[in-house]
Amino acid sequence: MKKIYMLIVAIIMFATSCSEEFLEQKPSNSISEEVVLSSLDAIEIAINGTYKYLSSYYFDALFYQAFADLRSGEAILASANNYGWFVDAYKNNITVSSLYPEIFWIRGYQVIVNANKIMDNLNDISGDVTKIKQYYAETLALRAYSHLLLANVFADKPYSVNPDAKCIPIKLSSNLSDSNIPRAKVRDVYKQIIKDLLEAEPLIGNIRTGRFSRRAVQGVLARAYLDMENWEKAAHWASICHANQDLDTAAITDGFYDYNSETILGYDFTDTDHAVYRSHPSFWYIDGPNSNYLYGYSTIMYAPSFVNIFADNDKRKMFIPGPRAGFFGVPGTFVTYKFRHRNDNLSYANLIRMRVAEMYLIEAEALAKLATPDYDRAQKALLKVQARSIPGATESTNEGQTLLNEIYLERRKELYGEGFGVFDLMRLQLPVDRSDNLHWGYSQTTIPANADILSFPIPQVEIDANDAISENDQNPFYK
Amino acid sequence: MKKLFFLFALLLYASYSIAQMQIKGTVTGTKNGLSIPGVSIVVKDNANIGTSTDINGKYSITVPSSAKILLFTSIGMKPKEIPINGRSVIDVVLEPDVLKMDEVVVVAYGTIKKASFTGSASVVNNEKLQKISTPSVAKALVGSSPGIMVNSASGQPGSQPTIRIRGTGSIKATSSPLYVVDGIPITTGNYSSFGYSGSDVLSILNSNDIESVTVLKDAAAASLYGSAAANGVIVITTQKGREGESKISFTANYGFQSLAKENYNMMSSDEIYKIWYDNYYAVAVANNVADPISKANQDTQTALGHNPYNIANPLNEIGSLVPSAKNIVNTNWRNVVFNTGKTQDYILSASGGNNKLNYYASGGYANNEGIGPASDFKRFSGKLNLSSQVREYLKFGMENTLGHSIQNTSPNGSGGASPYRMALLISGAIPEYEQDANGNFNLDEKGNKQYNYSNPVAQDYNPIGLSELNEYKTKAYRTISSIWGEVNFLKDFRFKTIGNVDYIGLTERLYYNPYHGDGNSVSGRGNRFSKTSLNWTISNTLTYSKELGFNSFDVLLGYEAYENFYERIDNGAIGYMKLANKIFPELANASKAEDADSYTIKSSKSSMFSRLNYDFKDKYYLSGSLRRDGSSRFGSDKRHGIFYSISAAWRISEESFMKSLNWLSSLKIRASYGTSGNDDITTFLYLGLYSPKSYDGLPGLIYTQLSNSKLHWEANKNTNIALDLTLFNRFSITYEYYTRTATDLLYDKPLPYSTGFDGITTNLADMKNMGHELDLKANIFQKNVVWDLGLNLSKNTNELLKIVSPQVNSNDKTKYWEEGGSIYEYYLEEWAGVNPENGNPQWYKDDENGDKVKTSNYNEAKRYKQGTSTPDLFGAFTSDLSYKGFDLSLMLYYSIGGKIYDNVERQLFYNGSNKGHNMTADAIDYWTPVNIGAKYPRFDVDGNLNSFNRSTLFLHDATYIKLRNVRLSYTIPNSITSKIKFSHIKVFANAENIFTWVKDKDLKVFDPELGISGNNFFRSPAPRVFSLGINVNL
Repeated sequence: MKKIYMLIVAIIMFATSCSEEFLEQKPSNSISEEVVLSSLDAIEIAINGTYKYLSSYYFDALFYQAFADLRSGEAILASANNYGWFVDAYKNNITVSSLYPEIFWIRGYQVIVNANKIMDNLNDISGDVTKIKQYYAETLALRAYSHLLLANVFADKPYSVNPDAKCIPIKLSSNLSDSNIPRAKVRDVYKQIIKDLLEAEPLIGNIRTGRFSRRAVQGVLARAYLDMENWEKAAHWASICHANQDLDTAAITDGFYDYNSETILGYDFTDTDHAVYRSHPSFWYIDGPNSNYLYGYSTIMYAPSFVNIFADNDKRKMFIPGPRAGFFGVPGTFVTYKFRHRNDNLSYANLIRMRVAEMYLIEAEALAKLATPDYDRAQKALLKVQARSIPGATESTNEGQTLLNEIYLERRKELYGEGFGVFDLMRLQLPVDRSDNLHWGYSQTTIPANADILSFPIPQVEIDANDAISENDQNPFYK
Repeated sequence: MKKLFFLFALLLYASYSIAQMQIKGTVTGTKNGLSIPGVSIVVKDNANIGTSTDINGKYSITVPSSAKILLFTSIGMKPKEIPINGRSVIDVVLEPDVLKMDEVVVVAYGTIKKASFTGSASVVNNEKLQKISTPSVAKALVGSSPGIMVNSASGQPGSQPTIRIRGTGSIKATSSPLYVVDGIPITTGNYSSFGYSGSDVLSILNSNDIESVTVLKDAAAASLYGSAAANGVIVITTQKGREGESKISFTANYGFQSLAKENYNMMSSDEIYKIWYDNYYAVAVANNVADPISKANQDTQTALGHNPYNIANPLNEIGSLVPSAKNIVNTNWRNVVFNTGKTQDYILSASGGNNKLNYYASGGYANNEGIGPASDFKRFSGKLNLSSQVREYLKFGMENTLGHSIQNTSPNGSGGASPYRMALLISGAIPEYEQDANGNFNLDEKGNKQYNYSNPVAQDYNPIGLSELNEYKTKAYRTISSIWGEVNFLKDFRFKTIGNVDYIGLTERLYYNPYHGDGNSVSGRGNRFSKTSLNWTISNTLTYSKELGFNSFDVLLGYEAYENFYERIDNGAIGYMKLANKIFPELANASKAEDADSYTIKSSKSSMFSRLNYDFKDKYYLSGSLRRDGSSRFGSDKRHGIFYSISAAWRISEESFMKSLNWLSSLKIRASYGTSGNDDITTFLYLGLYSPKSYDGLPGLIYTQLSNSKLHWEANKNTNIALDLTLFNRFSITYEYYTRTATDLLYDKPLPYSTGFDGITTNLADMKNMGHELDLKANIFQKNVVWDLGLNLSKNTNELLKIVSPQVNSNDKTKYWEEGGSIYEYYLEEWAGVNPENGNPQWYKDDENGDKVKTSNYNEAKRYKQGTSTPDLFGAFTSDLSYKGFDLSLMLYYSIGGKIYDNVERQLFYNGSNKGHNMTADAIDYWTPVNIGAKYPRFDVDGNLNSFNRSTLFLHDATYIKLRNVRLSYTIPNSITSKIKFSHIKVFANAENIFTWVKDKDLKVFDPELGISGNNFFRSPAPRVFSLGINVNL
């Protein structure tokens, strides 16, 4: 019996000896913020991770480009078998609680907040000053670029129409106490974007194409100034960015699946971390005209009226009749093989977000718009783009609006599928033409220029939770 | 030889000196007259002399001649005292005990006599568990007692229903009860990647191995489980061997299950063709198309994805079939998807014991084929419980539960891969097998029909074809093993220590074939998931029991430590070999690895607890408990919590002034108050975290969680007031009133999305559940015919007491949360009918004066509160009738009030929005200039009317009554069974989900028994089951 007592005492001693340490556990698949923000090595990893959000399918690696073309009248969405993807966006049936504005909005701000979080803590870190400068510049660029994308989608009106229109909250800190931020004016949002970019430009180095480089920052500056109709600055930064680089034919005909000599900014996808179905290539169709078809969603097609703007010998006329057998697209439409995949692996492709040709087109447009237009240089810049794709192209002799129209047409041909469509129409105050009778699901054949419906609504969830934004601040179409 | 004589003489002397006599007999019950095994028989005033009846109810006892009275006791029976009067054969008939005051109630860390219990609990015993076909613990709890809500939203074999005890008590943490098996809290929940819980303990435990299931409902019963007790506790006690009873038992059950009820009346291919054709024709005419008939026929065929007729233009200008047209495709996809499945369940067990060793061992096999494609569940179960009285003061024992299951599932829900979605959405115009324009099947080289994978709902998809080629397979391994020792010392003290290991192993295989569907684009995709959960628990308790005159004390002190280790490994691969449409799902057959992931989660808890029970004169009872928990789920300054309860009971009927009331068999009032907690939340929720996200093949980190060091557990305050009344020893009434106030509920405080986060988990909300429970039992006949009736009623109301700001539930988007409302309050756009002038849909909105007016612009439609998804009243009516060897029992389950939002109906009435999808036949009643009184708006081939957007058009009253179980059994009389050397043979027939009556005729769901949130989605419903079985005891 005595032994038993001793055993009981031993068990009780053992059991109650467990200390606080016993209750201390650590996560294995995440890292606490204190650890991440206290080392430069970890910050490098956190910046790299921020690009994953920037390049997520519901921000700048699919949604932005899909919105641009599906709402421009040029692309047509498959009417059946579309799994509901982009239907509301295509039909202009977006509401304040629609998924598309909501997740695009939050992902955009996630990129900004990740950038801010790092920026807020860089001051307290000691270490390699070059690295600190680089990271500081890169987070500025990430923040500016995300603000720019969000402004394009959510501003009540583009800068060119009304710089005092309501735009988006400018988010400059990761501090939760600054969480109620009102919609700033378009003018102020661009002011901040330009400020961030100009601060970043001299500091930023060149890590790789999949991250912001000095050249990419220059390109974003050109885009922002173009939006602002600051023609001088737009032309200036575009020309610095393109640096008179020659355009390579293969860069456009070989398929947009990998970086080439012309690429300024792109998003990296390896053969294992791409988004498969929910990717840009998956929606834009297939691999080349003769190779094996890949089954992506393959639901974004182009209207014959759009295909017809290309001359037959134009190398960019990369279309085949769609839908292909077994698919339920809209008969009579065309699919493009501009965007491809590597190795027959669906969506295994880098996504090109900025290239030299766009800079020539920005320069051409800006020069032609200057108070004292420089038509000669504008025509030369335009020819750079035309000559690559159209055999025997000669320098335009047009001037004034005719030249501008030629440049706008070239932008459509050169940049379709790359995130410009409807945003160009809005900036240029042009109507959306949906008169091609293959369009479906939307009764209006023309959306007039500057129509309220072209802007996305501020997501209702933001209005509900943000004390500084009320229902009254909603974009007019959705009030 | 001398010695032998001496011994003989000695024995003779001994037997004469203590005069003894032997008594024999049989104990039977009034109910069905069958013998009762395991009845304890002792000599009154000398409990050391005793025995128990054997498996045939027979006993034999040798008593001293001084013995006067024998005392017969058996669980569930009234004890009986029989004077011996010199008889050597005494046969006894025992009556069932309606009061059951001596019955033992299993509570936290021990048991207590029902009479002295001050809390609220309900018990389902083995007998009741056996009354349903394909038995499971959860099914047995349905309707068993008030306050317990069981919702089985899926007919997938092996899946487990949602169980709520006294309402929903949490928003973000779990609302499911804690499960305790043989004294140890165990891991529950679903670890499967496919959404089904084949690994759940309730799936793995064979219900035949269960002795009883006790549901602890109030603080007095559950508070001792502290931070895990907020949602009530389900205590499962497994079978133990009993002394003197040596039994071998075999039970077999075989049956069929099928769709209990067809739901919507779907359109035929003629009807779906015509509705599209008529409208395309009108559009073509309006647009002055040259040949509107051809255009409309062509558009219709494009929309439907297949021409179900033998000619190109089957319909003419008035929408009638031309004479030469013949319908050659009219597939009933619901019949294609749903089938009849077999169910089998076998168990063999042996149990028994003596005064040194008791044992129970069993092995079981069950195979349950679902009604949907590729859905089945096989289970192998084993049980070994042992206990041994090693020394007079020392007892050792172990309980082992072993289980292995293999489960195939079909994806449920609204995902593209769900065959239950396809069963309704693919129209009859799509053929099941490939066929040419004349309806002749395209045969492969072997002459077999080939599945048609082309339809407008999902690309390259055939629900049956894919169910044969794809795989969602879960294998689960489970061991719950306890070893314990118990020491009695210093007369009144008892020390018990239990060590428990609870292991769950899961290996899962997901496979998309390379030929069709999701795997096509990557030439097949395979994933392997491996999940391991290992708990260990050490529990030590010390009890002190003492009686001092009229006072009796029972004190418990305890310490418990717990750690859980969860590990998950994922692997995937693509690029499978394609060989003659054969499948090779293992990753070895793929050419490229992807999706490697793994992580581990550890959590731990240490607790100290104590309880005091006191009673005075068996009339007045007082109980109090205290527990302090520490949990790793919270930050260091919020880690510990204290929980307590206090309760009392008064047996008024034991007072002398009540004794004269003969009609009053028993009257007791009880009251309790106490606290409990809920710590079942995601681990590390209090930390600010970065999560890995690689970019360009290089490591990346993303800020994914905001820190909240103030995070702590949710606290519940529970009150229970109850009355137990028994009249004429026949009618019993239990009434309970409770409130459950949950404070500091974890809740995602919404943040502006511009912060980069949608919310931050904070202890912010308060919620109250209150309710009434009534349990009525009547024993109508007690003699030859025994007839028991039961009726229980539960009423629960849920109220949010505090919430940051009123908001729409962001998960299901149909509920509105505001202070004073229920968390199940619907918040929907209100349907205002069809505008008879133009056929447009209408909803309500408020005009500038705040008056409700109609609008056809969905963006203007206002959301109004529309009532709750939870019923006003629910419960069950039961009847158990037995005569001779026959037993007939049935249960009617009812649920009154509450609403169902039918998302499926919404999609089956898409009004042109979803081209080519099937529709309900009701949708034919749509507005046209000649049908202005139509129920549904005009049909728009472009689907721009938003008619099928969320609105009350799809909201219905959920009131229903369901005949849930009927069971008829016959026990073959002992006189026959004993001749063939069996002690017991019973045959039985079961039927389940036999009939459901629904109040709202527009509610056409498969089964109104939906999840608590009331939102219907595409699913495999609970099937109708018919089965036959036999139980044989040796």
